[in-house]
Amino acid sequence: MAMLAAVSLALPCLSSVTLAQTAVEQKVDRRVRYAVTGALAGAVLAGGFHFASDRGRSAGNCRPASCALPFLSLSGAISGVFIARELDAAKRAATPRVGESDRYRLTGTKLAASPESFDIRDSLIAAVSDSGVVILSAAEQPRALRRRAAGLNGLNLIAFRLDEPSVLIGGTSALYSTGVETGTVTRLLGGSVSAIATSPTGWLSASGRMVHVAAGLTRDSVELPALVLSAHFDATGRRWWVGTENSLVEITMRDARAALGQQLDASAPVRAITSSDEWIAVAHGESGVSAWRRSTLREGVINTVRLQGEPRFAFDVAFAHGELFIAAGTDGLFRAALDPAARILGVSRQLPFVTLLRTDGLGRLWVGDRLRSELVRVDKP
Amino acid sequence: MPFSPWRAVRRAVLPAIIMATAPVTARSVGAQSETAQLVSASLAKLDMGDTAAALSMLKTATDRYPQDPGALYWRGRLLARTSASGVGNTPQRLLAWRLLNRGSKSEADDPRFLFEMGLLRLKTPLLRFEAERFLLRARDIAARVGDSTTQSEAAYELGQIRERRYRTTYHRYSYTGGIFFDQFAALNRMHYVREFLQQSSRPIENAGATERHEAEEMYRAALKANSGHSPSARAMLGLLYDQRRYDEMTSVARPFLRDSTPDARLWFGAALARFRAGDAATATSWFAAGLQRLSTDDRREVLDLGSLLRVGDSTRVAGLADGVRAATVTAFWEAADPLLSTPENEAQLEYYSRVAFTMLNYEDRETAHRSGWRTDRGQVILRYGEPPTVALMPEIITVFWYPETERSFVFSGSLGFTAAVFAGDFRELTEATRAIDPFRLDNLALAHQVDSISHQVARFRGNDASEYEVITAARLDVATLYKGVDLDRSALNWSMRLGSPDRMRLIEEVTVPVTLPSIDNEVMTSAKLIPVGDYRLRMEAYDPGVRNAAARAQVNLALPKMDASKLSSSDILLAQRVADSGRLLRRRSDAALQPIPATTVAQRDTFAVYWENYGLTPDANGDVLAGVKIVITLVEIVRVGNTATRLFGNIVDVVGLSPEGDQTLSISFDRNEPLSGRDRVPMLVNLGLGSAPVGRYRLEITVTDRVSGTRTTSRRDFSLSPFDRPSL
Repeated sequence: MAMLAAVSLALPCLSSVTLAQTAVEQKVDRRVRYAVTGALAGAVLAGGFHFASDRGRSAGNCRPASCALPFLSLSGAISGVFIARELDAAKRAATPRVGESDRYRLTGTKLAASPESFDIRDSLIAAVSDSGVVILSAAEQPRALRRRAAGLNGLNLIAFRLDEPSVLIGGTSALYSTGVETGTVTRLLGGSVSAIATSPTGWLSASGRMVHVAAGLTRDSVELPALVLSAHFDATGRRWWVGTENSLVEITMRDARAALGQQLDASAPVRAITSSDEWIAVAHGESGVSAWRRSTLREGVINTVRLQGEPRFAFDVAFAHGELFIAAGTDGLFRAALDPAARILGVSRQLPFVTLLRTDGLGRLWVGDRLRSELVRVDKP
Repeated sequence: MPFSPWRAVRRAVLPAIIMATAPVTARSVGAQSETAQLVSASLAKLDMGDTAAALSMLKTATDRYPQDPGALYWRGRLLARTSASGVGNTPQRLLAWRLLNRGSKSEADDPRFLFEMGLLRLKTPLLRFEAERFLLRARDIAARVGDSTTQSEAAYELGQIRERRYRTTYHRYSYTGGIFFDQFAALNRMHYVREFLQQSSRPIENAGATERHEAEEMYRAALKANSGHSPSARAMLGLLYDQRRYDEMTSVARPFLRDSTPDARLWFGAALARFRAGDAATATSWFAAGLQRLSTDDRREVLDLGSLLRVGDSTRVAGLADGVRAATVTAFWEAADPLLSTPENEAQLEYYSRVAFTMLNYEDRETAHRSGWRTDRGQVILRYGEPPTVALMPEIITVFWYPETERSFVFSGSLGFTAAVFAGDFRELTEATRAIDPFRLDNLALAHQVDSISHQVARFRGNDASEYEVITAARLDVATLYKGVDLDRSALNWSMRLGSPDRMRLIEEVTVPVTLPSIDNEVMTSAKLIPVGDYRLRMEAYDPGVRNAAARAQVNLALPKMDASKLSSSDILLAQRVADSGRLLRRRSDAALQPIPATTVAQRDTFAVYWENYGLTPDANGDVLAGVKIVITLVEIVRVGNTATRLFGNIVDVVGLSPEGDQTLSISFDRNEPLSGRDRVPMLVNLGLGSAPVGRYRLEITVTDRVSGTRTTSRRDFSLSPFDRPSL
């Protein structure tokens, strides 16, 4: 009997060891532990059967020792191996490839559809999705306040205007503006809008290669050599940046004339732009993240800091708590440091599909989750 | 291959004798040279498709030089790859295993042996679980020795193993009500599937997520080892699509597309991602590139409409000459396009997207001979789109559920197995469904948003018998199109297209400024001179910035040849009432008519009826004498009011107590007027139906030429709306 039990234990253990040639020692341990536990459970059941069958006298053809014990212990051991394998795989899937595993306190609010874009101003959040624009409260427990821009098609960009209580909405057909509280939507410009940004004195909108800038009562346009994909107002440097398919371009507005300023070679499409007091960072999608130290921008040799390989796809970037956060889709929310060298510090896999990031006036990070159609505030625990 | 003792002795002893007796250097050089020649010759045979000759040569090589790794590898590989899974091929697999195993022992750093052994294990019943171990070893050795090809292949195969596991668990449902899914009830009982999914089962959250993640990691590893490994890229597109990761799909496919990959599946997969991401222009271009790269048979099958038509129509289209069939296909897609005003044909893109979906989901190496759209599930997807609900039941039954039409299709065999087929009588049910509803675009948002345009089209003779003047009047119900839209002003694009049945072209385009909120209707009237022929006329109103501001109308316009010598009448044009000026009408323009766009008049309204008579014979004084009979018949009463009233009214209709079918109005009169060189005799009558019942009416005008005794009849259906309803 002991021999049979030993065989029943040895077989799955052996298979667990051979199957896990690339696994670390701990995983092998888990498989062995689970196999042994499963085999023991089988043996206990066989023991139960032994007593239940009047010490085997009424057991029929399957005797407790020669049949039930090896069969049940072997089955238990195999089940243990497979359960351990599943647990290992699940753990592997949840473990970040780089950096620590971060965990945050999440406070979210559900939207009617996946958010395409959102913006935060004071205590308000404006989010745009397939089902229109919704204004939410950015209070401790976020909640929807009102809907705006009902019935409009192809809306995918939104930004609060800082010079008046309204929002700028970009879509595949036009650029619109509407009051935060009341009023109908007004069409500002026709044509598909690829990027918008707002400043304390005006707004910027891009359609294809054309960039329109409004400052106070003046408006002007400037054409870029490449398609514009993103836009950002750098509050510290007080200047506009637009991202194209391969560069980051400064847009200036002097004497009511829009003009191209400094151009930074990004070598990849610029999907999103963000800035802090010290850095300007952009998300490139599959090409990772690039960043430039603000103080070096006026120097002759501009040093580009790059994060490549991880995350595999950078959807959006934002600075919060002195660190760079990266929306990496299904890979989660990445936390990175840029100084002294660019590196990933941690990854949170709590949200299934992180695509949008914004920081509010209090420095708190907000995340747009495409899969759950949620806006989530991310607080350190 | 049967066991032969002599062969065994020959294999074991002869080479040993030869090896022992030959001078070492000469032996090894000569052996290498001869084996290399044999292997090379066998590969040449293989290239020509002569597998038997190749195997024979390789057998000679391994018999003479049993330790030669090249010969062992190629013979083992060929035997392994030509063996089928199942018990019947066991001897061949055993032989392949022995050869590969021998090679792997002598060439421990050559991962190809282990890789082939892994593939062989995948075909071996009961020992499949071992495949993963060999493939992992092959991958690791390949990485160590820098064999990127084997590394990527092994990683891809490992990904496939994980993906199969994922597909068998993805969409998994568990039972909550303690009853099993009954496919027979699903076939026979209405609402069974809906009720079962809602009340007796529930989806298992995150089912298969771990396997999907592992499969993706393996495919990424394969692409990292060999960036040109298109099967891994293709497989990854399928995984990413399940999670709607369209941007990442594009980034995976882009390097291949940049190199103009011949892999049509990659083009289709990338185009699918772009279309779902809302980039229809790129999707159109990439689908076109994918179509070019399909095999001739596949391309013909995808381009033809066989799967989207009823069986009879499909046979008829297949039997057409190439040119006519191509024209028919073009006409089909033009008619299916929700809006011609958009640059892309969304209906066709949706169809190609469905083809791409079937490529990504229902094809694998084992069914490489069978394209995804030819599978049972693929055919359902082509016709009705990706099902909003897919449920994999514990007893390995897959349910496609389309809530909008309350249709379900049940397959036996889980999602992970490409061989899933219709369960029970669902094949017959699917054919019956096809006969009623062969193609639907329920999952195309634009198709839902398009409203219909009320219109009236009337044909009059043109300047001569070779052309017609076609009057169109259409009503743009601006209030309805912009209902609930939070916008102060916008612009509605109005367009008209006309052309032969296979190709329409733009003939009129107008931008109508709209100030909101609007309660006004816009009336678009036009008069076009069109040569004799068969045409399609399409009218569209579209505001791309507003979700529901889209409407269309399509008319088949037959403009037959006219015989100027025979009596005939034009269509009847319904217009706003006009005062009779007493002047002799020479053309329609003399009457200053405002056509009614919707062929709907209100109770107590008076409206004008205008038509033209051609070929009336003048008498000796040059006058024409025509007898006119106007009959208006109530075709159908439209009941208004509460349910009880409508029900009672309908019963009364059935038993014949209501005035349905009665002639509501009948007028006869003679008209005598000078022809005065006119090529037509226009006639204008004002009519009113008072408080006749609301419903559908038929207006019939018969003109009798009192001189020649011939007669002609024209008809026009119209509707009578309630008195308080605003009408044009």
